[in-house]
Amino acid sequence: MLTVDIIKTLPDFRLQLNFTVANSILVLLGPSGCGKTTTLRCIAGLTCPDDGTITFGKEIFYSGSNQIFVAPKDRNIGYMFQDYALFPHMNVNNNIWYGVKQKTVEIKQSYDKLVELLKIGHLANRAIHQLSGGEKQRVALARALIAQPKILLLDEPLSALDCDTRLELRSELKKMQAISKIPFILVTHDLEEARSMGDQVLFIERGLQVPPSARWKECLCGREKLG
Amino acid sequence: MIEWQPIILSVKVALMSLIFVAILGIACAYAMRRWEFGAKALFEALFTLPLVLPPVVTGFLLLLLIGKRGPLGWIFSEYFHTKIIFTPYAAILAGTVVAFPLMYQSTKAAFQGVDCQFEDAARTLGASEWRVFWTVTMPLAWPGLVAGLVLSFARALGEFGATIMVAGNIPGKTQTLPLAIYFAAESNDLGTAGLYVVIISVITFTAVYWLNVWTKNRVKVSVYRGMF
Repeated sequence: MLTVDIIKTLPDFRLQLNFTVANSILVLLGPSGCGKTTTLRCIAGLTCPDDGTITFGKEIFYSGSNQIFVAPKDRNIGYMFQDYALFPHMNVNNNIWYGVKQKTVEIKQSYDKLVELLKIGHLANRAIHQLSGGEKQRVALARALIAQPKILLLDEPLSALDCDTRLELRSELKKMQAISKIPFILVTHDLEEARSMGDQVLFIERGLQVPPSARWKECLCGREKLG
Repeated sequence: MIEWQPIILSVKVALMSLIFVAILGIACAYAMRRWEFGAKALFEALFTLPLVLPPVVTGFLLLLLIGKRGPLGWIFSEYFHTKIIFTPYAAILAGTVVAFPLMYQSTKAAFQGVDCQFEDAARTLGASEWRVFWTVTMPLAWPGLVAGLVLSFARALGEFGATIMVAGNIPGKTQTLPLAIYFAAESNDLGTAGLYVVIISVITFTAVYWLNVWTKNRVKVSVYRGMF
């Protein structure tokens, strides 16, 4: 179980969140600039909170009072960036294997399974620029999962994709979570995506957790009207 | 009959300077990008100083440093029973100092051009800072680094003011190509001076031309790859 209780002062407001997530999908939902990505970065260790604690089971990733800060490389937390951050100077295969320290038989089996599940076997030797948005998303997911993370963080993983690909990948992400049985924390500003993906949904506004307000319903209605 | 020694010495000095410039330039640019500290603006100004100071002034400051009574000169004399001043090592030092800002500025710009997300992605995949640097930062910053290396080589090769101050003009020992040109012209040996001018011009022109062609080809490949 991941427990997050952090405070971080941002230029426009103060981020103050407290939540837990077990082996399920937690969606952080909120408008752009409300502190969702900062929360993910704090969990991954890429940004240091001002205070609070981040723990996973008995393991402490961050504790402000005890001055503990575990570096990202030692947290074993997978992170899928908004535009995937696949290394442009490496091919697909090298990207996927980057996080693997030792190619054991077990890891090789895991690779075969992932590649089959995500249907990316034929892309192994391709350069990153030769991939479509959906393929990049799958490769990034494979890269994050093959390192066998304890938690997977996904920063608006579907925002850059067209509608059909998005729907297809939503179910794939849910399937991967069911197989890997680790907590997934997904960030989005899309209410529909949050509803379809999340086992839990955390509404965030200006750095604070808020109850699902009428405003969000209005947002959805507005989007439907626009669509 | 021209002397080949100044040409060989100049190339040797420029190449040796390049090694130091590369190490120092990359290390300083990386440190300035990675860490925040109070005196950063001061260091930034110091690192750029040899670019804007007249080379003779740089040479004079180096003279104070490595001269007999200078702190570095004294250490070498006292502990290693040797001297740097008026040796090829002084020419290397002068070349390194004057070429350093070019390498530093090019490398800094190249590092700033690397999207931090790639480095962050590597960190979340368990890579140490050392591995992030060698497998992500350096390959992505490589074109800027190459530009810095070529410009630094050309600058070190053509160094005159600081070199004459600290290495002097000892034919066969510390006389580099620019010094040979100056003294040949001064003694009215315009034929030799002209020949040296052609040689140094050809070397530097080739280096810069190669850099332009290489960069152009690389941009073409990058555009094709969709990196820009």
